[in-house]
Amino acid sequence: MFDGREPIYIQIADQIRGDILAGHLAEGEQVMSTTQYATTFRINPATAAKAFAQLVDEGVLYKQRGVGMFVAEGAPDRLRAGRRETFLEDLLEPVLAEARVLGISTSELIRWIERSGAASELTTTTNSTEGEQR
Amino acid sequence: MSGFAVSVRDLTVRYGRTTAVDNVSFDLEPDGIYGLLGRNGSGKTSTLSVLASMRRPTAGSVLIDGAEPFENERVMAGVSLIRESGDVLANEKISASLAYYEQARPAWDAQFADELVDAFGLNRKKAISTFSRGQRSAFGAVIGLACRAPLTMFDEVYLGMDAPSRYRFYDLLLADYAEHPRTIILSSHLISEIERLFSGVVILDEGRLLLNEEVEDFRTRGATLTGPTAQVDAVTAGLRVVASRSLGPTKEVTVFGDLDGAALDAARAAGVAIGGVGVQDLFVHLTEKESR
Amino acid sequence: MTATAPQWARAAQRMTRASLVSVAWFWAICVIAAAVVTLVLDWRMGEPPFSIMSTIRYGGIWYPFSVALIVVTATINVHVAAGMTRRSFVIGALISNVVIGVVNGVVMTAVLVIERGIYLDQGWSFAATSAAPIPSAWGVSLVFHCVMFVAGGLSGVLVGLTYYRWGAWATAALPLTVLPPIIASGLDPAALTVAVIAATTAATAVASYAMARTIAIRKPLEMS
Repeated sequence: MFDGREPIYIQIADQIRGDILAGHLAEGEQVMSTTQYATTFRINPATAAKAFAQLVDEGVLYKQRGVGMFVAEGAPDRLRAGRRETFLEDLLEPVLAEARVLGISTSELIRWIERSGAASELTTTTNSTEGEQR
Repeated sequence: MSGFAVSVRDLTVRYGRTTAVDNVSFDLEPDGIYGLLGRNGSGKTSTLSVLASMRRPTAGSVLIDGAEPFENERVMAGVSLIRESGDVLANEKISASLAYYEQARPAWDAQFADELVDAFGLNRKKAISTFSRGQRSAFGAVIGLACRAPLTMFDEVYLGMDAPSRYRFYDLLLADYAEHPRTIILSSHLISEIERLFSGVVILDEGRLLLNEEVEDFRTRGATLTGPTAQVDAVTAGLRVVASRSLGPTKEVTVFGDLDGAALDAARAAGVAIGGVGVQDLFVHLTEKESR
Repeated sequence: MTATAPQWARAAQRMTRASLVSVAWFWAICVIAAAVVTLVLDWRMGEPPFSIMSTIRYGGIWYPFSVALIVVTATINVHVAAGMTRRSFVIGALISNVVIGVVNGVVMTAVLVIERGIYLDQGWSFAATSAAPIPSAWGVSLVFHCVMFVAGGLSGVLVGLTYYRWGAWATAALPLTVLPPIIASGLDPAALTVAVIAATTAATAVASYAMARTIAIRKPLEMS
């Protein structure tokens, strides 16, 4: 866990965003305190606090004094909207570049996308909602 | 009480003709958890001994909470160094040492100390001299934590413990630190288990300061680049390579330095996978390099 | 005592309490041994040839000497590791050894008074060995023994600190600190003895203080 090259607080924030998008954390639900988070994952509490502060700044979490931190209303939708904007550029572009290197044609790619898109609609996993946009 | 700031200036410690610490300077902010890293004989223990007023510097100075600590009653009362061998009343039961530290340490928490003794499963009925190395280390951890000293230092203490005790120590340390922030220094050469606890690292090598920076800055300056040899070589030209190994046509290179995003994107486009490097690995690579 | 009392006072109290236990044992064993020796001599020789208790004087010097030496070398690392100053350690050690020395001096004098009473009661002559003269007046005896025993304990502190600091070289300091009281104990009149011992003892205290202030704390394993 947290083995990436990015600063750990960014990885933590990403993980929490992912949990919200995947529905593991619902709107209005309380998230772990920074202390709980730090002790659970054996990281510096300041690092956890930095991740949480970033999420509060983004409006993903909100702080209730003396009680804790909660997932903001509308956070999943806002996160999803944000992810959509960067999805094509950040995730699809490298795939297309790799496809060009491997000589996979555009029509092959489209066929693949349509097939797996249909499959994910059947299983209705929330994670692949971005895939349906095409 | 919150943590003490530490300022080390041109510190030199000599034993006869041997120079253990050579002109080292660094600063630590209050309330951070710092890793003091170095191979055996790099000067970690000598540096900590000066901070804990166990000895005077041969040259240079240290300031703790703005004052010279040596024989300074206020500062010394707030500085704790737990050494692996343990500074305890070894021929008596643990209660004697606990009572000793209680009358000595202004912020001692006796109830917490009792809980810690239970948490580590230490025998209250036997003399400390009959304890195993791991049990002695655990008792050192009990004292170091229950002191709640504004500058708390552990010198390789957890190395003697078995894995379950070590993890218990990390968890107890972290939980208590969250409740009672203070400046903590953990010295070791084996840090993979605790590197995410650190806010900063100080690396000593052969008595000299190799590096002192925030752990995130340190970590993100390292990267592994893995891919076809030609591409990897092209990307890493001009970068500081600290380790490299070839696996057939594939090459994995660890670089350390300020890597710009564009260069990394170019590497990715060229089919090179980019990964993170743990603090432990970076430390090993850097100190290997420097000692050659 | 709580952590609010001065450090040196806490150190003095702790060391005194620890030493008093061993001092109590010391006197208990000495008195029993002296009683047995007295009875045996009475049975074999008709009467003891001299005061048996007066021979215990050397034990009263050397036993606290070794206790002080052990306490100093075994606990200075714990004292400093617990965040207390060398200053408070050495002041505590000096005070506790003065207290122990005075206690021993009082007990010694009291024991001699009692022994003398027994000798007179039995019609024996009360004399000392030539090596350990008994001062003629009891007030002088009290001062004499107190100063003598304080000197022994403080020498133990100095030799202990020297040993901790320089290891084997400490043996060189031993005659320096202990010889003057031994030589002086043969001097006459007793007042001169007391003066010489008191002077060397004061020097011992000053030397201990100066040495302790800068002493480096070793790894416990080096000493143990």
